[in-house]
Amino acid sequence: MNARILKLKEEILDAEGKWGLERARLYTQAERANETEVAEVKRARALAHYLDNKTVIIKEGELIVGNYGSGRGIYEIYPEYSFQDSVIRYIHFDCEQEVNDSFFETQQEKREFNEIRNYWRGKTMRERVDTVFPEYVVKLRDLDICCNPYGRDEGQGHVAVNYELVVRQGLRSVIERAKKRMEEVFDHDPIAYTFNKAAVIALEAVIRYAHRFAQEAERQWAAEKDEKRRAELKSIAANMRRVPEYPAGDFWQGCQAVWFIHQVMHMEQNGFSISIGRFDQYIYPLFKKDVLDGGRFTDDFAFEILQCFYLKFSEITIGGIKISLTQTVTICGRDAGGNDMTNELSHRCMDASMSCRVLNPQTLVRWHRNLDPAMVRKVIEAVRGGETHAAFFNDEVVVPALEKYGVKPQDALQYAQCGCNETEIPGKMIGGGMPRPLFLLRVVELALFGGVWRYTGEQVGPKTRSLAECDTFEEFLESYRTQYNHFIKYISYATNMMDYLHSQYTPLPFASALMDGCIERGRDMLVETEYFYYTLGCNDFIAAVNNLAAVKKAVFDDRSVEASQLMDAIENNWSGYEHLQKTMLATPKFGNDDDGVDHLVPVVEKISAEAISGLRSFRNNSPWFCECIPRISHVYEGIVTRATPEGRNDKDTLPPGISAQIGTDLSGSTALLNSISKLNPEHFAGGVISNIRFHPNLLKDDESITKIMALVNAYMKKGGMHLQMNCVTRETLLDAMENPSKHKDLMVRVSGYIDYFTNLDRASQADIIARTEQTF
Amino acid sequence: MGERADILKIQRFSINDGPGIRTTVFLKGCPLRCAWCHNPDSMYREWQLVLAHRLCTHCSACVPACEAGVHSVSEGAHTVDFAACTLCGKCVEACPRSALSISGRSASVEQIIELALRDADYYRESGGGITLSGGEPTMQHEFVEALFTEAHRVGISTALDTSGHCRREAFVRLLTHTDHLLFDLKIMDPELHRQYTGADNMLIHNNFKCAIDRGADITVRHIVVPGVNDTPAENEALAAFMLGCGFRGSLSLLPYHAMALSKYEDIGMVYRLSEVIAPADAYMKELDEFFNRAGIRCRIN
Ligand code: SF4
Ligand code: SF4
Repeated sequence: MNARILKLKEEILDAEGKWGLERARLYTQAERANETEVAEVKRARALAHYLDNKTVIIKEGELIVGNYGSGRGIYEIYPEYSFQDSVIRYIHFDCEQEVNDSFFETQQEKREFNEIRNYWRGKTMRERVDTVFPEYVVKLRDLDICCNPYGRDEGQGHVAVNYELVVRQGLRSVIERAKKRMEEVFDHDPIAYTFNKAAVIALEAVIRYAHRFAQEAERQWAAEKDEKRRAELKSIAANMRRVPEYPAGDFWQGCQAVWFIHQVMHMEQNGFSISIGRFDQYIYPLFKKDVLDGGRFTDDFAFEILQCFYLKFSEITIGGIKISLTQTVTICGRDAGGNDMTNELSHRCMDASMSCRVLNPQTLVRWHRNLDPAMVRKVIEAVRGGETHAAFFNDEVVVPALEKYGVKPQDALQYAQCGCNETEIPGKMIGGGMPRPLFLLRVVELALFGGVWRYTGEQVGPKTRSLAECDTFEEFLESYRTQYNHFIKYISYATNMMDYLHSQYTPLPFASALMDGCIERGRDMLVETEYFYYTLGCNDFIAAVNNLAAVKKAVFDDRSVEASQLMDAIENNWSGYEHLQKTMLATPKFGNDDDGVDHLVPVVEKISAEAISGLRSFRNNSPWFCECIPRISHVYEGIVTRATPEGRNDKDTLPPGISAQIGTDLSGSTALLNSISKLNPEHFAGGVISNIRFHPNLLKDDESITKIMALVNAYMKKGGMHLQMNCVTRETLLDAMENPSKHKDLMVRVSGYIDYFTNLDRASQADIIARTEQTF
Repeated sequence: MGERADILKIQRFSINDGPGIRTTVFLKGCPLRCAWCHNPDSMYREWQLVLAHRLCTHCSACVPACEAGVHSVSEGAHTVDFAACTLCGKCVEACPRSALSISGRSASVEQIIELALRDADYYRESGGGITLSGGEPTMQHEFVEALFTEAHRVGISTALDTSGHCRREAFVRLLTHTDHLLFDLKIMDPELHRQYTGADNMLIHNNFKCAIDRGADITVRHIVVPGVNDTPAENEALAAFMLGCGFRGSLSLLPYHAMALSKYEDIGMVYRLSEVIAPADAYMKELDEFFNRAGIRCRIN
C-alpha cells in the first residue's frame, strides 16, 4: 500500500469517535423555518440547508472527496428519527438509551444539545411510533418476540439507488424530468407535484454541495506548493464542477459521482445497508476507456483512485467506526446467456478490498458456474489473508427465485446485495420492512409452555397444549404452528404501520428521485417502487430446528426423557440435570448432514412460508419472503433466552444464520454444506447468511486452495444460496481479546457483516472463538 | 457384500489424503509399531476405552458405574486399569463431561458407501473419492476389496493409504481396485526400520516396486522424524530407492509433530519418542529442495 493510502486509512482508523451537533443543528433550523410545509418539501429543504452549510473537508492526499460528518470520527444525530444512542444499541444491545448532554464537552454544546432535544420532544419518529403502537404490540416488542422495528430509530436504508443513472446521465437530467413532470401534474395530482418539487430542491442542493467542494479544492490549490498535489487539486475541482450534475467524463469522475451520491444518501437518513449495487458493471466502460484502452490514467493511479474510493466508506459512521453500516459492493454475476460478467475492474475491486482492509464496504461476489476461476481463487486467498469481506451469493438460485415472484428476467439479472446480503435490484427493488424478525426460539418456548411466557408466568401467546400435554410430536408441532401463526398479523401490522409513518413524516425525496419510476409516479420510494417485498426474519431458524429435533427424538421417538423433567431441567439451567443435558446435547444437530435433524428443515420452513403466503404489503401490494440474516441478533437473543431443550445453557449464543450451533458441526465442511443446502432458497429469497470457518492451515498452499474452490463450486452447484468464509487462528483471536491494541485491524465476519474483532463485546468475541474450526 | 470392518472413525472433507476432497475411513489394527504413531488407538484392531484427561473433572461418577473396578479417582488423579475393562460402556454413559469413550466401532460397506455418496458432488468437482487409511487397512483386506469394488460400481474413486507391509497376494489384488496409492516410506536402513517400527522393510520395498511395475498412481508419504530418519544418508537412500524403482509420482513430506502425545496417555500407552521435537521449517524446506533437485516432485504437507 502506498503512503497516501496508508495515511488516509490511519486517519480513519485512529479517529476518536464522538457525537457531533452539526446535522442536528442545521436540521433543527430548517425544521423551525418550514414548520408549515408539507413533509416532502420540508425534508428536501432540510437536506438543502444542511448541504449548503455543513463543513466541507478535503483531506491531504484525498482523490475522492465528500465528507460525511463535520470532522474526523464524528457521528451525526438524526433528531427527526431518534436520539437513541446507537453505539449502546449495536454494541451492548440496549435499545432504550438516549444521547444526552453529558456526551458533549463544552457548556455551549450542552446547552445547544438540550435546546435541540427539547425542540424535537414529541416529534421524533421514536415517539410517534411509541404513541401509535397498541399496548400488545409494544409488549411483543419488549419481550423480544417480534415487532421491534429498527425504523423506530433509523431510516429505511437497505437500498441501492440507480447509481448508473447518475454516472451516465447526471443529476441535471433527473431535475429536468422532475420539472417536466411538475408541469404535467400541476393541476390534478398534488402529491406528484409536491414530490417532484421536493426532488428538485434536493437535487439542486446536491449540485451546489458539489460546487462547494470545487471551491475548496481551488482554495487549497492556490495555497499548495507541491506540483503533483496542485495538479490533483485542479482535477478534483474540475471533477466537482462536472459530477454529479453531468455525466461522468472519465473513470475518476465516475468513482467520484458514485461516492458523492452515496454519502448524501447517508445524510438524508441514518439508514443501514445503503449499498452501491453492481459497481464493477456500471463503471466498467469508463475503466476500459481510461485505463485499459486509453491510458488516460495509469494502472497504478487508477488503483489509487479505487482505494481512495473504498476507504471513504469507512468514514460514514452511525455510532462511530465501531458499527458497520454494511455498505456493500456487488461484483461479477452472469448475463442472460449465462456468460460471466467478471471483468478487470471486478478483479481490481477485490484487490482494493484486500489492500484497504477496512470495515466497509464489503464486497460480494455473484457466483455462477461460469464464474472466472481466478476470481474464486482470489476470494479464497483473501480469506486466507484474513483481510477480506468477500462472500459468494448464487445467481443460479437467486435469479429464478426472483422471477418466481414476478420480477422480469432482465431485472432479476440485475440484482445486487444490500447490507448483510439482502437481495435488492438497484433502482428498482427494495425489500425488507422495518420490524422483520420473529424470534422462532421464543415461539418454541411459548409452544413448550402452552403460550405462557416462562419468564413471568403470563399468558402471552394463545393457549395451546404444552409439551407435557402432547402425546405425539405432531401435536407439539401443531402448538408451535399455532403460536407462530398468532404473531404474524402483528408483524404485518407493525411492518405496514412503520412504512406509513415513515412515508408521512420522514419521506426521502433525494433517494426517491434516483429510484426508477418515482418521478413519473410522483410518489416517494416509501410509497412505491418498481418491485418490493417484505421479509419475515427467521434469524434463529436453526435454533428452532435443533430444538424441535431434540424434543422429537428424546421425548417422542425414544421416549427416553419425560417432558415434565425436561421442562424442570431448562427452568433450572440444567443444574441437577447434568445427565439429561448430556442426553439432549447428544441429539442430532444441524450442520452434520444428519437426517435426524435436517428432515425438520423443510418442515419448519413450510410453517414459516405458509404463515406469510397470504400476506401482502400495503406498500406496493407485494409478497413476503423469509430471510435469515441475524447480524448479531444471535448473540443478543441468546443472552436473553434461558436454557433450551437442545442442551443450550442460559444466555448461550444461538447459531448465526443458516449455520451450525457453536461447536456442534463436527462432521466436516461437506457435511455442514450439505445440511445448509437442504434449505429451499425460494422461500428465503430475502437472503440468508451461511458461515463456514477455516483454520488458515486448510488454505496453506495452492493445492489446498484448489480443493476449497471445488468445495465452494460444488456447494453452489447443489443450490447453496450464500457462503461466507472466515479464516483466523484461535490463538490470534485469544490474543486479540487480551491485547486489543495490537490487533486493531483484525477483522472477522460476524454474521453477514464484518467487524473489527476488538470492537465486539466479550460474548461476541467468545462466540467467534468457539465456533467450530473446520479443521481436518 | 455384508463385509464389516473395525474402524476408528470416518472423516469427511479430508483434503490431505489423496486427490481432491475425500472421505477417509480409518481402519483399526496395524502390523507395525512406529514409535511416532499419530493414531495409537488404531494400532490394535480391538476396541479400547479412552479417557480424555483434559475433559475429566474428577467427579467420580464413573467409579461406581463400573462393575469391573476399572476407575479410581483420588486427589485430582484419575487412574484407569485398562486391562480390566470389558468395554461394557456403562462408565461412558455415566460420565457427565463426555470424557470417556470407546474407540472402535463396526462399519459395513453399505454404511460407508451411503455416507460417501452424500459427498459425491464434492468428489466430482474436485476429483476426490474414498480413502482407506488406518491403522493399516490391508490388515482387513477382504473388507477393503469389498468396499472398493462397491465404490467403483457406484462411480466413486478409491485411494489406499498403506505402509506396504502386507502379504504380496493380498496387496496385488487390492492394487487392481485402487485408483490412487498413498505409500509410506519411513526409514531406509533395515535395522533402524526394525528398531523403530518393529518390522523389516524388505516386504515394504518389494511391494513398492511391484506397485510401480503395475503402473499404480502413487504418492509417497514420508514422515520426517528428527533424530530418527533425518540424516543425509537416509535422505539419499530414500531418493535413490525411489528413482531406482522408476518412481514418477510425487513425494509428500510430513513434519513430525508431538500433538498425539496425550492420546497415548488417554488409552494407557507409553509414548517412546517423548524427547523428539518437530523439525524446523528451514530443514523441511531444505529437504524439499533436496528431493526436487534429485528429480522427485515434492511437497511439504
Ligand atoms: S465421570 Fe467423567 S468426569 Fe467424572 S471422573 Fe469419571 S471420567 Fe472424569
Ligand atoms: S466400559 Fe465398562 S468395564 Fe470398561 S471401564 Fe467402563 S464401565 Fe468399566
